[in-house]
Amino acid sequence: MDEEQHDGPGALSRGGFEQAFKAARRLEESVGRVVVGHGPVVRRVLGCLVSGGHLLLEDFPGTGKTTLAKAIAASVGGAEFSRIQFTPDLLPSDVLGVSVYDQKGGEFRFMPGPVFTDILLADEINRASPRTQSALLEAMAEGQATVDGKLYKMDGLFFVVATQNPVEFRGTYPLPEAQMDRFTMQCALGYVAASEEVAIISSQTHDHPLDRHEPALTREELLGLVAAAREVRITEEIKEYIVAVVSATRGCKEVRLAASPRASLALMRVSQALSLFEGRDFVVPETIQQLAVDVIAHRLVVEPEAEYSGRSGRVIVEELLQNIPVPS
Amino acid sequence: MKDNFQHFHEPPRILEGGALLFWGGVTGHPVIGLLCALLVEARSWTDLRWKFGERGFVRAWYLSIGMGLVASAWVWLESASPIFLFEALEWVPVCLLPVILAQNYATESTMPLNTFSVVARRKMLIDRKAGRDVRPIQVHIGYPYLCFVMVASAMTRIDEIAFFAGAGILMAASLFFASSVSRLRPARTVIALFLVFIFGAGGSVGLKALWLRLDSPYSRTGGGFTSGDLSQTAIGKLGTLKQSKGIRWRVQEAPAEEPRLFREAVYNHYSDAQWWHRPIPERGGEGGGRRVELRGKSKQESSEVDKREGDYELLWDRVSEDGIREFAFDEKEFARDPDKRRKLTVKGKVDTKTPLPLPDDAQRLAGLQVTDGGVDVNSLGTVRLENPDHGVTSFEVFVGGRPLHEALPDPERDLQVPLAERAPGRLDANEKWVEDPARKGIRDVCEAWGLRGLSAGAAVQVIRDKFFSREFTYSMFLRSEHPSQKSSAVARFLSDTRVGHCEYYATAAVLLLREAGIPARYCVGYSGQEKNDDGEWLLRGSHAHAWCRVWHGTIPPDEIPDGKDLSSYGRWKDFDATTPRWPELEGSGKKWSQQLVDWWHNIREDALIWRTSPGNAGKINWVLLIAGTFLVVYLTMRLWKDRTRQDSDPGYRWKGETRHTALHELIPSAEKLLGPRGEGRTFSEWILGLLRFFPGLAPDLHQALGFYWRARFDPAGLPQDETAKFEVLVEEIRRRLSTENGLSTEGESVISGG
Repeated sequence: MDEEQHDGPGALSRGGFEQAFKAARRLEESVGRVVVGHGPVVRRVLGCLVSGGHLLLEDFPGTGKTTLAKAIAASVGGAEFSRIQFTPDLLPSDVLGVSVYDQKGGEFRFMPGPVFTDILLADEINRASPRTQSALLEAMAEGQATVDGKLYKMDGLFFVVATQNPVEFRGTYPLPEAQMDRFTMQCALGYVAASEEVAIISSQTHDHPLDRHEPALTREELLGLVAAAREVRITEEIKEYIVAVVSATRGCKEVRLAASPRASLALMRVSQALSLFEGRDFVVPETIQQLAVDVIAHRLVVEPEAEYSGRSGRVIVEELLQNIPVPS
Repeated sequence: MKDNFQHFHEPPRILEGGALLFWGGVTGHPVIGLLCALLVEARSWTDLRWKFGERGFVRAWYLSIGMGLVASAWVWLESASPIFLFEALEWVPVCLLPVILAQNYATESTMPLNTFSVVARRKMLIDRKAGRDVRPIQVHIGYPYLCFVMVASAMTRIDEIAFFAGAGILMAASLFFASSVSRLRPARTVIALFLVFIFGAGGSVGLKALWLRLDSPYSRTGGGFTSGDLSQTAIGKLGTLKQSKGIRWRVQEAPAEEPRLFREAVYNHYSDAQWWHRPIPERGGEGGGRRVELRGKSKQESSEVDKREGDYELLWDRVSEDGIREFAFDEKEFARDPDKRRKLTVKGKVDTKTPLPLPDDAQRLAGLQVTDGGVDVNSLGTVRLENPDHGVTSFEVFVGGRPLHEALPDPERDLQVPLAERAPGRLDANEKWVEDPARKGIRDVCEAWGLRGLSAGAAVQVIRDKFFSREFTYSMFLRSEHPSQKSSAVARFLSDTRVGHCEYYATAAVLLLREAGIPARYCVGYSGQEKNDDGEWLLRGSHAHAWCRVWHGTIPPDEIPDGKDLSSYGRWKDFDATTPRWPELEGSGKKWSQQLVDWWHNIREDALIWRTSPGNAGKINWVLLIAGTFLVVYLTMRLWKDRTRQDSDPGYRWKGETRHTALHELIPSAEKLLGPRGEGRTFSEWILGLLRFFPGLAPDLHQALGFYWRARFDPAGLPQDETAKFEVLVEEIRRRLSTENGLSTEGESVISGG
C-alpha cells in the first residue's frame, strides 16, 4: 500500500485539519442560511470553490443561481465580487478591460475589466457571442489575462460562477467545447420542496437575507482552506479509479468528444475539497461517485443519435459508474 | 443510483429453465420449451455478455411486443372461437424471451422499469432534456417472467395431477427463493403457497368453466350450446332470446335452391329443455337397419366415459388424383362422377368435433384438411369434423339422392315423451307420479287435436296448418306469470301460452308426433335466409334454427330380413313446424356496422383459407422461415459484434494490494440478505442496505463505516487503538445479525440450511 502522502512535506496536521474543517463548516452554514433547501448542491459548489475551480450553473430562471453566487461572495469577507450580465452585444473588452490613452501621462493606461475580481458572476453566459465567451478562457484556465499584448495576473482567488438557462435557446450561443472544459463542475439547483419554498419566502418578507448577511470567513481564511484541501490525502487506488471513470468516456460509443485529463485532475481536486467539507482528511470512493457526474458530464459531446434518443452526458456517466469496479 | 428503489432479487439457476421445460411439457411444445430453457440457462455456461443499456432493453422489449403481436395475429387468424386470447397467452413466455435474455446476458444487473412504458420513458427523456436528474426505478424481471411462464402454463387444458404437482413445486421454489432469509421464511413460504393453491384452484375452476363456455363449437347468447350430442335449448327461459348476427358459415350453392335447411345435428332424447343424442342400437338380422356400411368405429369406440362416442363411425375416405382428400358415406360413391351431383362450397370456422352444416342428402365431402383425424357420423346422421388442421375450413359437398346414414326409427327412443310433458304433475312422497288435473299435457293436446291414428303426412299438416300457423304466435320474447318450469314448458306452450320460438315449435311437434305414434327427431342447424352479392348463403347466428325429422312409413321390425330394401319401410323427412314467416317476425335487427363486420369477417376467413390451402401453406411457411432466419441472423450478427465477456477487463481493475478490514467479514452474512454487491456499487451504500432489515443497527454501522473508510482509504491507516475498537464493533454487529436474523456466525442460514 502506498504511504506516499500522509507524511509528505505539505501534510495536513491533525490540528490544521480541524481548523480547516471548522472554517469549511462555517462557510457552508453561512451560504446555507441564504440558499435554503440545496444542502448537497451547496456543499459540492463550495467544494468547487475550495478546489480552485470554476462553476457552471444551468437551471431554470428563479431557482437561485445568482443568489448562490452572491451568497458565496457575501460569506467571504474582503473578497471582491463582480457581475457581468452577458448580452449579444457584449465585447471582450467589456470583460477583460481596455487600454485608454492617458493624455496627462502621454501613455496608454490599462483599465481592468470586471474579470479582475475574486468572485465573478457571469450571468447568462450563453447570451454573449463565442468571441466574448472565449475572453474568459485564459483567465479561467491560467488565472491571467492578456490585453494588448500585456499579461495581467489575477490575485490569488478567482472563482467564476457562470449561469445559463437550459430552456431558452433563441438568441443564445452554446458554449464551445473548450470553454465547457474550463468549468470544473456543472450542476443544477433545481426546485426546492414546498416546505423549503415557504421558508424562503418567509425569510424575505421584509428584506433579503443577503442584506443582513455577515461574512463567515476572511479572504485569507478561504485561501488557507484552498491550500488545506490540496493536502487531503488520496491513495493511488482512488487516483486510478478517477482515471478509470474519466477514461471510460473515451471508449463509449455514444460519446463523440470524451473527457480530457483535465477532467481527471478536476475530479481529484474537487474530491479533496469535498472530503474536507465532509470532515475527512482523505478521499473515499463515495466522494468520487458523488462528484463524477457534475465534473465529467458537461465536458462530453454526445453523438447526435444518442442525443436524439434522450441520452445525455449525465446519464452516460451514471451508467459508466455502475459498470466500473469501485474500490471497496 | 443512490437513493432510487432497486429490486435485485434474481431467481436461482435452473428455476427459469425448469419453468420453461414445464411450460413446454404441459402446452405440448417440448422442443420449443427445451430451446427456450437452454437459451435462458446458458448464461451460466458462457461468459458472453452484452452491455445493453437503457436503449438495448427498450429494443428487446419492442422485439417482444412485435413477437407478441405476430403471435396474437397468428393465433387470432387460426382460432375458431374467442379462446384465441387464451391460446395467445400460451405463447407469452416465447414472446418475452428477448427481454429475459437481455436481462440474463446483460452486464447490468437490472433494467429500468420504464422500459415497459412508453409514457414513463418519454417523460424521463423530456425531464433529462430539461436538465432534471431522473433515475428510473431499477428492477430484475426474473421473477415476473416466472409468473408469466406459470400463467401461460395454466392456459393449457391439462388438468391432471401432474400439472398441479409441477406447478406447485415451481411456485414453492419461486416463493422460497424470492423471500428474504429469515427465521420466518419457511412459514411465509408455506402460507403463501397455501394461499396460492386456494386462489389457484378457484381460479382454475373458474377458468375451466369460462373455457368450456367459450370453447363450445357453437354458442348462442341467451340460449345454450350445441354439440353433436347435446343441444341446450332456451325453452323455459324468460325474456328476449338474443342471437348473434355474426356469420357462422358461408355456403355457395350451384344451382341455387330456395330456402334450404342446413342440418348440423340430430337428437332423439328430450329432457328438461335439453335434447340429447342417444345411440340407436343395432337391429337384429342381416340388414342391421343401416343403409350402408361405414368404415368402422371412430377412435372413441372403447371410451367408457361417454357411450355416445361409440355411436360414431368414420366415413370412407380416399385421396383423389388431384391430391384432395375426400369423404363419403358409401364407398361406392367414389366411383360415381361428382359432376353429376350438385355441389356446395362451405366455408366457416371449425374446431375439434365441430358438427358440419349439411343438407340431408349430402353424399360426399371433399377438401377438408384433417391430417390427424377424419369425419365421423352418428346413427342419427350428425356429421362431425374431428381434429381439423386449421381453425377455418373450406370444403365441397356433393348432394343428391336419398339420405344414406340415418338409422331406422327405434320405438324405444323415437317415440319417447317425457312424463312431465305428457301429463304434467309431480312426484309424491312415494316417488309416484301424480298428475295435475288442472294442467293439460302433450297427451291431452294430442287427443284434442285428433292426431292419433293419422299418417305422418296428415299429422304434420294438422299440426302446422291447423294449429301452429293459426293459433300460435312466433316470438323471441317470452314472459310468464308462472315460475319457469323447464320440465313441462312445452306442454305449457301448447296448452297455455302458445307463444314461442323455433325450439318450442320443433320440440312440441316432435313430442306431439311421438305421442301420436309417429317416430320423430329434433334437428338443429341453419335456415338459409340471406344471400350476399356473390350468391353465397350467409348463415348467421340469427339464422340458427330447429326443426323435426319425421318418419314417413311403418316402424320396422326388430329383425330386418337379409336383402330387405330398407326404403320400403319408409323414410325420414324434414318438417319445419315453425311458421315460414319467422325471419320477418324476428326482424333483421342488423346494426349499421354489420356490413363492415361481415366484410372484415370474410376477408379474414378467405385469407386464412388461402393461406392454409395445400398449395399456399408450404410457400408461406418457407417465406416465414426465410424471413425469420434473416431476422435471427441479423440479430445474431449485431449481438456478436457488440459482445463482451463477463470477466472482461473493464478498462480498470486495481492490481495493487487491497487492505482487508474487519467490516469485510460481514460480507457473507450481508449477501444472504442483500444479494451480491454490483461492481459499480460502493461498499458503504451496499452494506447500509442492512438497515432496511435492522434499523437498530444504524449507529453501530455508521460508526463502523467511519473506521472502515479510514482503515481502507486513508494512506495513514487506522490507529492501533481505533483498530481494536473497530473489531469489537464489527463483532457486535455480527452477533446482532446472527441473533436477530437466524444466521450463524459463519454466515449460513440456520433455518434454510443455506
